Amino acid sequence: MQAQAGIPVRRETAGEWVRRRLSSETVLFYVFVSPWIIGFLVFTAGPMLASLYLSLTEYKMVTPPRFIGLGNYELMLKNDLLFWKSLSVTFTYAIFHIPLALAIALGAALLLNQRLGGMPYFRTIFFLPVVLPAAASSILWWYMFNKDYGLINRGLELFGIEGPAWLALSDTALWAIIIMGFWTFGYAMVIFLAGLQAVPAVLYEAAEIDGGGRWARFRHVTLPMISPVLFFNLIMGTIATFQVFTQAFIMTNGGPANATLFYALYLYNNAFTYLKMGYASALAWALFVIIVVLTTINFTVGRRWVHYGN
Amino acid sequence: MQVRPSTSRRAFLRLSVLGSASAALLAACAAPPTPTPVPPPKPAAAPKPAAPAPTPTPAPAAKPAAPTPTAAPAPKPAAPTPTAAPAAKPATAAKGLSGKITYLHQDDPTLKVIRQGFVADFVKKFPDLQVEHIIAADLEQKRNALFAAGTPPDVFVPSGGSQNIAVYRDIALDLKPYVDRDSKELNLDDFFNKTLEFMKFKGKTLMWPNYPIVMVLAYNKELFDEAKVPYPTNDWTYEDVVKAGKPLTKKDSAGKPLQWGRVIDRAAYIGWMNALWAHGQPIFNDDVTKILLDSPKGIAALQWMYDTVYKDGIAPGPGQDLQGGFPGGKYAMEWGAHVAGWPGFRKANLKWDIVRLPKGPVSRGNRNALDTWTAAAQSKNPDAAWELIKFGSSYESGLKLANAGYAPYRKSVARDSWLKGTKGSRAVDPQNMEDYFVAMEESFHMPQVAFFWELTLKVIQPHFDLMWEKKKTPEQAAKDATVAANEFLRTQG
Repeated sequence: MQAQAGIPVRRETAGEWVRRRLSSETVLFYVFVSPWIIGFLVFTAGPMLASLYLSLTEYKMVTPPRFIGLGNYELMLKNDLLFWKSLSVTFTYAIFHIPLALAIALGAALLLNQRLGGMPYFRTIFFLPVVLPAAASSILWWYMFNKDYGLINRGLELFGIEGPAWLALSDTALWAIIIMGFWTFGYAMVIFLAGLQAVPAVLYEAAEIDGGGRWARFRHVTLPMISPVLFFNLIMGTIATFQVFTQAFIMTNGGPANATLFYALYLYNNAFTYLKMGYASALAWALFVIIVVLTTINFTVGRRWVHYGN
Repeated sequence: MQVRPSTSRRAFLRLSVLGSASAALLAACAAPPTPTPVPPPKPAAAPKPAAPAPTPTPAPAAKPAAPTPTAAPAPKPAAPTPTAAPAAKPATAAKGLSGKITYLHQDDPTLKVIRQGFVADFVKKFPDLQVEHIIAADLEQKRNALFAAGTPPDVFVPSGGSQNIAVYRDIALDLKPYVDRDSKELNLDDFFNKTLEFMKFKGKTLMWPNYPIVMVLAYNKELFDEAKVPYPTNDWTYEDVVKAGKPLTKKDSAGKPLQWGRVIDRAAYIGWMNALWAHGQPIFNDDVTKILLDSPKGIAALQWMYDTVYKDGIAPGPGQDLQGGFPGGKYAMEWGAHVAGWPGFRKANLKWDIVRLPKGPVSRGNRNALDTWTAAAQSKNPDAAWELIKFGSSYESGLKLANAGYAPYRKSVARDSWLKGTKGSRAVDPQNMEDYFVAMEESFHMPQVAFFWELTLKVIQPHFDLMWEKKKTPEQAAKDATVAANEFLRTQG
């Protein structure tokens, strides 16, 4: 503290300094966010770093880890055909699931955005599958896909089509899981709905005055205005597809013939079935890299079609 | 015209996308979700053998020095003999062991009650010894966590039991010195020979029997009577199975199956391994460096299985399994008939019985998989750990298990439980209990390799799945599986 001419200055005591510092907004900020920071460091960052180290070891959990350098990554890229198979299954799922699920969710959101009675009930019904436990949904769908008694094949019978044994055949098992994936469109739907409701009515009015039909209004008003929401759902959907696990674990356990061996399931099998925790950690880091790359691509491409306000 | 706060909205959306993406990315890197252990529903509702447990493959680690057993603590209970089994004695307090041990096993409703009583009796006998009894909903996760934390359970039930013995080679206590020391007390002659044989791994005794599981052929008497087919006998061959299976298989006018002659295990190694052994073909060469599935005998074994589905039509292919399974009267014969499924057969009021597996070209190919005890090599109280195992394998403990439906490994226990009465007069089916124990003594043991589960599930089974879908012939499936398996052995075995 500097003395100004002629004015005696009292030095700040230590207690005053502490009180001043403690009452400052910065300290309070850190105090209040510290539970999250500690939680993040202990339960997220710590395990991540541990898994990075474990990915460089052979670790079976019941015996201490043994450092093997990049051995797990080498095995993954050079000798593990199932690594590539699981990637192929996951990418196939993603290619079909992401666009179709977004389209269904957007379609449902457009329908639910109408000013009609009973909409809250419909929204609740459509959202319900999202809050159902994935394990319960999987068992439900396992019955739906039953060759003889399942609803899917019963429905096909009405059109004279004999449905396959969906989950028992390598040609149809993945399709069954793709179809099942649409069941949880409610999550993306409510986000689309929020986006749709934020589109100013004045824009539609202007478009209408300019002679824009329904399609033109959707194409030139709705889509650009909800493009950030669409982008958000795309990013989240992409990440979610790389974590598909429960349905494959419960309904097919990766079979038949590894047709539904999703990446996350393969990772789980290595960690908890074969107790190759080191290798599983390497698979987890490979997954991290893949998702980072895909997200970066999405963000780069997104700049061309995502419109933020004006 | 209304001016909208477009800048803040843009910022908000950007922040939302970035924030959510970051969180999701971090979540993506985290370990996959631990699944709720819900068993997948089975196409055929017939109770299947309990899935063999995951096969951890522990790496060789610094091995603790083998403990030298101290003198057995007194008093010793009278050893039961096959000819004169002792009456169950109340546990009497004894000194000689102190400290603490942990005992871990699966949370099974029936076993839990038996084990709680068993621990209570053990503590009465050794009052200075504290037993921490851990009953885990997920045995493997709990065991792995305890090992990873450096506090392994002193005594635990290893998943997969004897069939996974190689998996435990570096973490299980060698019980041989204790067995040698207490052989008289244990009355080893009272054990069925194979149960003891299968506890050994490269000169060590790494496990101790809890209850054995062998393969037999279960058959539904009513369906046989209805089809006027004579009941199976121990002289049955594979040809007899096919011959009997045809009239026992029924379809409706549209060709939809209503009843199958036999259950076939298409999903796991148990089915094809049984056929392989029955054809006289071991799975590995002697030094476990090569798989022998593509040998003429191996191909013949697969062909036989395949033909029961696609040539003889007595067993279901993919998607043809029937709801209800064997206990629901949808299958006339159940191959293997895991003992864990028997209560279900009884509950369904089925009239059924068992015989030994039919004879294949060389043998019956019967697999034995014992549920076992194991002590941790790192146990700080190995003497007490062994004492608990020994107590658990006594006549009295064995009898309690046997009366609860678990197959006995002591001849005296078998005689006083499962073999009580005579064929035809026993209170519950099966009547032909004798064959279970004959089957036990002629059974085969699983290959003693740590990676067997991974190899069969991950590498071999997908080729057989394609065979069952008729996308590969048995010969092609055998050849492709052999190439893939040998590559696995070369790079990861």
